[in-house]
Amino acid sequence: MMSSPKFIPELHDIGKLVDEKVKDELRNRFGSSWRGHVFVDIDFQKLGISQPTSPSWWAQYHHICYDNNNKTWTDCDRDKLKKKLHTSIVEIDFNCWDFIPQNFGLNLFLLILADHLASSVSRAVGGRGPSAPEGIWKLWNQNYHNSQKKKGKIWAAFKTINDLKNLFYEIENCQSGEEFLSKYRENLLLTPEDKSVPRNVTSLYTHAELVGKIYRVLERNAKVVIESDGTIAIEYNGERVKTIKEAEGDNFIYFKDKNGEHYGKKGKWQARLVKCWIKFPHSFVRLHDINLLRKREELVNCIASYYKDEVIFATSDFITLFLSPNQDLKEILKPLLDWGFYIEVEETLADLGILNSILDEKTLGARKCVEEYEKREDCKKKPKEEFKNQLNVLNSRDTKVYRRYLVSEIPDEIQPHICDICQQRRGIERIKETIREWVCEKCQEIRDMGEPFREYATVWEEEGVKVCWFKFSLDQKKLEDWLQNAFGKYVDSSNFKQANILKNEFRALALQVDFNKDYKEMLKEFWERLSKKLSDDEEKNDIKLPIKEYHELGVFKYSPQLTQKVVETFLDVFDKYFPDCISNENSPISLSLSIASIKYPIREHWRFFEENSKNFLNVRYHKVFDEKYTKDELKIIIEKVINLETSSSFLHKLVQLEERLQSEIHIAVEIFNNRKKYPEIYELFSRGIKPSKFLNLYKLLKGEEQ
Amino acid sequence: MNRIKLLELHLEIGSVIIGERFKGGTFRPCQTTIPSSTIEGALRHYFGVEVPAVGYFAKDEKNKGNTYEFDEFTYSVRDKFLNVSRMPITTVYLRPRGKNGKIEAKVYIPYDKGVSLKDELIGAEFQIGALKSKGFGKSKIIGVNEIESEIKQGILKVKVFEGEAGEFGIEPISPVYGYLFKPDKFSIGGIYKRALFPGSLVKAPEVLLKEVTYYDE
Repeated sequence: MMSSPKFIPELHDIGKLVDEKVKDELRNRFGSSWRGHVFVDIDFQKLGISQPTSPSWWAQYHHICYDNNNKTWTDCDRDKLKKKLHTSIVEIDFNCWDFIPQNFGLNLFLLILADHLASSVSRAVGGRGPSAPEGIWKLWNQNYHNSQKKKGKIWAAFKTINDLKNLFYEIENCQSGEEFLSKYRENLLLTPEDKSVPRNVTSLYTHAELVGKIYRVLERNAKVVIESDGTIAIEYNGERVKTIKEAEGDNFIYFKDKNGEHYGKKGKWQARLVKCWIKFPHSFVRLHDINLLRKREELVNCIASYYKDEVIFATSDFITLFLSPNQDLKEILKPLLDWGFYIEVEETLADLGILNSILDEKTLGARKCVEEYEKREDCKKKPKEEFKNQLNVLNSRDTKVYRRYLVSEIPDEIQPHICDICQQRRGIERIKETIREWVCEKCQEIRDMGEPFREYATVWEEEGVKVCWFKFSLDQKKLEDWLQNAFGKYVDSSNFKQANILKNEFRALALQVDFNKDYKEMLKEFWERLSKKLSDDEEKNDIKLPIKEYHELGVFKYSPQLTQKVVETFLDVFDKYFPDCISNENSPISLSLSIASIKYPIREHWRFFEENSKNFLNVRYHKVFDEKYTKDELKIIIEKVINLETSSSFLHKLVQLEERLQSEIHIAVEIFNNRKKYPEIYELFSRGIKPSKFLNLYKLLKGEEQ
Repeated sequence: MNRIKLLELHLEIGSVIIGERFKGGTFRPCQTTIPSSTIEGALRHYFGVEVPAVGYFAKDEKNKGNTYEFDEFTYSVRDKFLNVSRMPITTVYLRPRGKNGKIEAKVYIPYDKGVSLKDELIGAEFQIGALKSKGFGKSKIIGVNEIESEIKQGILKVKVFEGEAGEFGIEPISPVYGYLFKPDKFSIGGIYKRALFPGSLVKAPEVLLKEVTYYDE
């Protein structure tokens, strides 16, 4: 049985799933159509469809304007807005919203705020380019739409006039945001939030999902109140407002154009975007201790499902939350703290009009550049005055950026012995196989979750093999930086007059969500493809996913063949999901391999994985070498040295020369003299790749004896 | 501007092991900082003084890189009672980078607590860290300066007992905690005391900060 209909914010942009041809068809048949992507002005009678009556219908009014000449409500027209012939709903007193039944006014009010917050570029900024070809333009996978199209997938869910009946059926009968997102997932992922350049970079799926989440957080904290003069106001966090503009303030911080300088005005409603890095002080003494990663996965999933609106997105070690100013963060993260995790938090509190996931960087950057302008070269790309103006606006709008560490209560002192694993609690003596350890109750509980896989400490250890632990990582800070740069380049490629303003008002959140989704898909596909590449059962037994739910971590009995399969599979899936993403030392995604004897402690492998200065591929071969590779280096070395069966004796000779003489000129001469015999080495060297780099990769992927 | 006066000791160290706290196992990692517990222990042992101190390994002035690199040392402890060797243990240690080099370190002591020791400290030689009997941790103080460091907000780069942080002008804003071992006055037993660890957001003398920050407090 259907429950009584609810207001479903996720449906607000359903009109973006309609093929443009339907509009033309409608115009040809009836002489009129609808504007933009909302159906406010559509003639239902002509269509022979009845207008939806559900609360969600009112979401169609999120771009409504008041026509000052005709004294009617109509879908907004940008040109008329500029000429002041139209007044946007954001500036009109809630008490004057006579186009909508009063009981749905609050829904629409909050929806518009959420829609602004979830956009990829501030709505206040112009600079809309031409309509993009079609489909989403993923900054990290620019051919994505075309490749999906070739597979027969299409963005448009509604392709004929007849399909419009289905669309209005959804508005009338859809029961939840999840239902809508799941039913139209394929179309939503291929459709951009905005079809014009440069806003066509975010998927409509993520936009709708974000709008739904933000809307519900606001809704839980907002209510309609009657003022003493009998008018209606909307209250959130103790602040009463009557217009959307009053609530969010201006949708920009500061910019300068031909009309002069523009300083964003303060809004009354604020919210927090909170980034949480989940960390732990534990060191893995035994294999069982890596159950901590399973526990972390479980707890993150538990928080993400209990606070499904507040959690914007989550990975195994990172959560981004959208919270009202008074919501208790520690309470939300308590399950993690209770298990001994600590959380590094970076929190931004700002007006709804400017809150976004890179506002923290922007604010801290402005503070730094005002304070240290003369000392810092990175500040000098803009005049100091610009930073000052930006900072003045941020300060006047009470923008705050906090950094905190959330930890569970720990005592001032601990009597010996301290827990060997977490070093945060008193350990209890435990003796196993004549080895004495001090382990606290919590860490023991994690050990008791079971053995990740039996072979490691039995068969593999008895065989005395070398093992290769490997871990994928996604660095969220590098991701933010890269998204900003990539968006900047995309803007520059279209010669916008307002390029700098567009870049300044870029909001990375929705793209981060999209990127993280693709990262998770990539990991899943990595394991599927790798499994297909493994030649027999023996090889399949030699590689393990130690924590089933945690796809970032793997381990195998080291062999050059398996290593090559792992590295090549990573290259394949990376090129499928992120072909246009940076892949050097600034790469958000990396793979690290740590090879050592099976006796080498797991905590030391993990310590290597946690190091900050990562490149695309990072290799530590215990007591043999440490090396980092960009994707280009990796590919060309594989192509020229590994696959072409270059002589290892010549590579060894080069490395010995390099070590002994420490003279690049001598190496260059040696390579030049042998250029006919080893042209591929000559090519690599002339590209600036050191011989030790290609020899080390050769050792790793071909074995040392070759 | 808020500043604090400190005594800054320049140290040259040979190979050194400042062990992580892990016990058990046959592989021992080492730290890349000089916690209060280590340097205070050395000062107590060699100079007979009880002063708060904290330090870190300094970067090379020219190339801004570390003055150390990692290596491993394997040794076997002899069980005197059974007259047998126990299972060999491998420990990571820091050795000077480059030929004939030394690891450079800086140690700070609150000015009032250290000024009377200044003359005694200059040129003094002592050992810090573990496996001193194997020759690790030989240190020489090559310079003692009185410095004034500005108090700024930033990310802490040292490990310092929480109870002594105030003496260095360190005020935690959002601390990362860990524990350091504080021996009792007879050096027989002791207790783990809470300490501020690297990464803590603090107000502190700039010389003890990894980076200056501009967060709201």
